[in-house]
Amino acid sequence: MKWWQLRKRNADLERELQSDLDLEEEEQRASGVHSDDAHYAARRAFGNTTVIREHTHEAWGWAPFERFSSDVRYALRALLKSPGFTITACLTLALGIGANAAIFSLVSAIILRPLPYPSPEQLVGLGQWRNQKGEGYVQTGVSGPNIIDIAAQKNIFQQVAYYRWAGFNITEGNRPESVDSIKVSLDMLPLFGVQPLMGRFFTPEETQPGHDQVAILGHKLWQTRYGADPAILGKTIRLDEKTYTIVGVMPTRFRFTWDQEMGVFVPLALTPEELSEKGRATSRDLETQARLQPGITVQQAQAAMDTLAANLAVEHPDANKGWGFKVEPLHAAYYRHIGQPLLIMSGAVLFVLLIACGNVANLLLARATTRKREIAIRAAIGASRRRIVTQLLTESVVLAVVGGTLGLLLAYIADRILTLQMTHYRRFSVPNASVIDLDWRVLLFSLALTLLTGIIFGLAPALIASRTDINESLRETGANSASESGRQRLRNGLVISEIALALVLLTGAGLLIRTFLGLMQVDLGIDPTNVVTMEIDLPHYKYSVPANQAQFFRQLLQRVQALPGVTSAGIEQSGSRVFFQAQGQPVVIPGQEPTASLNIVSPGDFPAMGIALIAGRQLAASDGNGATPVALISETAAHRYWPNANPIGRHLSILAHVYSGKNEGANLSIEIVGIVKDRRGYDLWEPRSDLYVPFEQHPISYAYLNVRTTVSPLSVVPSIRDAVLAIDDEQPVNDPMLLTEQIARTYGTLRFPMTLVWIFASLALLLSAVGIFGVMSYTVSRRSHELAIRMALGADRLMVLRQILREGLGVTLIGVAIGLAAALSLSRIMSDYVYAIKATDPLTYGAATLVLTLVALAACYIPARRAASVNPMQALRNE
Amino acid sequence: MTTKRQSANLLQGTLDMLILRTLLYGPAHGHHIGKHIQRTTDDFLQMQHGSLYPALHRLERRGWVTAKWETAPDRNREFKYYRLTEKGRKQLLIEESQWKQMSEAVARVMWPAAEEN
Repeated sequence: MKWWQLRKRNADLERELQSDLDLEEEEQRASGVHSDDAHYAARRAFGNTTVIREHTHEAWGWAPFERFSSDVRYALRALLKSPGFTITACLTLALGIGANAAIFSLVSAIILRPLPYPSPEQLVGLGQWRNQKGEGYVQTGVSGPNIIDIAAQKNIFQQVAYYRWAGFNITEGNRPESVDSIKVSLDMLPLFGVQPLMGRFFTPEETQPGHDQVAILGHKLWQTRYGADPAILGKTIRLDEKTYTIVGVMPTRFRFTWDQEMGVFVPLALTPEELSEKGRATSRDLETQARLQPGITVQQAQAAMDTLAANLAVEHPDANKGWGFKVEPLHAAYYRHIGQPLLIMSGAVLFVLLIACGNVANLLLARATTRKREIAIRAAIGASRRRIVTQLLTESVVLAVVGGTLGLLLAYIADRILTLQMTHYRRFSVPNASVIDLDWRVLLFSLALTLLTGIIFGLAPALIASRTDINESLRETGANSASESGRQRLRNGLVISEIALALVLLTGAGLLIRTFLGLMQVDLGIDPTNVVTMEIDLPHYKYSVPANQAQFFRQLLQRVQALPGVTSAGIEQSGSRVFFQAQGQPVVIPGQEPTASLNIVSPGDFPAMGIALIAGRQLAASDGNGATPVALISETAAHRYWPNANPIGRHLSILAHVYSGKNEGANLSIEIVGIVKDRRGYDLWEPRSDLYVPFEQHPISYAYLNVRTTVSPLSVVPSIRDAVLAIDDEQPVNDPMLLTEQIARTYGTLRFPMTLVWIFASLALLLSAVGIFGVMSYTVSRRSHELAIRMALGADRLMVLRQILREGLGVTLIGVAIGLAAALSLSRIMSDYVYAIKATDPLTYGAATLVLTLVALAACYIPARRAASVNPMQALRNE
Repeated sequence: MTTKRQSANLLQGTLDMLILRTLLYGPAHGHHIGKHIQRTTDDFLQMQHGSLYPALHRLERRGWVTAKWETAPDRNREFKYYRLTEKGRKQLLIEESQWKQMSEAVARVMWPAAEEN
């Protein structure tokens, strides 16, 4: 029999019983029993029909299921009967479960969802790295000849592939249009194990210089720009100054570096020079990815690469000494920076849920006391202890399921907010940020969490409630019994754990806030008010000659400076990093060279950005092409690399660019003419060494234009655009933005996780306050009898108030002590995320303790006052 | 706990056999079966409805009997008639021989003297 036939079966049984009962009655009557009595006689002869029904149901084999469904129905009725309790408990659980589901959906999207390629565990990222004295760890791409040596390790790698960002403009149609584009090596696209939707990947010949004018389109570009033209193959696309033949279209779901939708792929043809031994040091900008042989682990690959690096360092000391190779699972490389913060957040929400569980368990305990009679009656008419526990547990699981469902709703809303936040702060670059969702993993996780939660908070109260002595319970009128003191201990234990958990969260949140405040006070070294910044990128095909680039920027600066409302304007290109050699100091061994960020600027950039000069002189218009090469250095660079001398007047030479390895002008001797204040932009946490050199001596094709104004900065943007168009009527101006806005975004990426942890900590504080309030209120109401006697015997109200507060404080302080110990032992996790303070910062710990204690005392005060206002006569009469 | 359950099983098994045997005469409804057993044993076995119906439903689940609502031949009313199946017939034979073995075994223990004489 199937369970869906139960209802029919039941009707059938009822009919059968009724029919036989009627027969019995007829027979009784036939044997001479009076017709009124016959009915009862028949029933007596028949026996207990409820028992018959129950036993017959057992015979059907679906009894456990029926018991469960009747338990659920009973639980729903019981919960509906006390809406106050139910709403409180469900909301508490919804907050706990919802927060967990929301954070878990981040974990699921970012960490658990595998890369969308076949055998994703074989995909690794490869990089070169060296440990730079004073500057920490430097990681770059891999140079061409090194890649060839790596790819030769056929027993380790199936394929080794590399790419460069291309940054093409599509130069056909009305206006140049930039397109996300990369140049890829022969194996790059096949590496992922996908097939083109149409056409083919590149051939070996096409990755040779001169044969590389073929392109593969991304699916989206093919749809938007070409209307999904089925005959696209063989047509051409013009990128910058060259025409490319379209040979393929990628499938719709293909994403590069996990979630980037590329518009155009073209072959990356390395020049003979890049592939020569000279290129071993100068083409280190190739982003490299590889597919491991089946069965090869990342550790094995890393070991092989360590050996290779050691050999190459001996064979090619100029290029490779001091450099190692790093193998990293491709997936892990994408979430590396977010893994640990996610772990911390997961821990924080788990704490919130545990606190919520504690509260609901306490509510259930209190409820069990009021339901003592009901349970005793059930036991008296034959329910086994196991049956009662099952029923009570069913009730708590039903509660948890309702709470969990509400929680999922909350999590859904939270996910939308998280997605918005993540995509808003592009620099918070989180892979899969756009697909944070309640996927099956989250749903499964939430279901498991919900059931587990129901059992966790329900088990202890159910066991305790079912242990009642029937006689005692049915007789009891409210006097304290032995079992009551056990319950009190459990209640206090729950509140103590809640307070301890809340304190750990509060200290964590406190540390992050102190860190954030510390970072807010960091001297950025610039004056961002009234500055607007925008990007200008000169296309290579038009401005291939350095003189033309310099000419453009020179004209631009002249025009912009002449605009009304503009006080100063400058250009800068930063973000690249160089190795340099301070002349007059001993020649450093490779791997130990000083490094600095290289900023290529115009003299006007210092006043425009508000970077103050400390010593020496500013850059000047006279520091042009052909004049003595000059540079300014930042304070940190001065302290770090000229610790005992005045660097002004000394010389340095730029050895090579860290990332590309390019080393043109390595012999150029540059004179240091001034020292400027440190500035912090991308990295708020640490000051860095900066070099500033004039753009006239170091030609650049793209730069940020920084303009300081006396009027509203954005109001000058249109006239700046006009100035640009007046020089080149095809040149776009990108992303004009207030400098203050840019800084706010930088802080925003920090504020976001901090806000999350802070929300969790506040929730924890609130929930634990509710917890202690509940327990103290309950204690007071249970003890009104005792308190009344005390007062009748002469205790005044203040004494009662104090006594209750003292008890609440006692519980709180035990919780605080445990919480402090736990927070201290967890502080190591936080040490990477604090700035200017230690992870054991006494002020934070003290403040968290104080806040928690005060909130707990306030929560105790209300029940304490109620206790103190007890009218002894009334309370005693109520007995 | 265990001893209680064992004795229950024994009775249950016996009841199954009695029901199956009763149905050998032809289809019957629950009340009829109960009354028959009671009457045949001169009220020695008081039929407990609490075990009769579960037993009937269990037999039906095992496929030893089938049940159908049918109009009684002598009056204008429907009863749920239980009918022995082929499987049930075989089961009855098995149970009968088991019961025989059992009662003989019990008898040998209880009245050894009678055996010797």
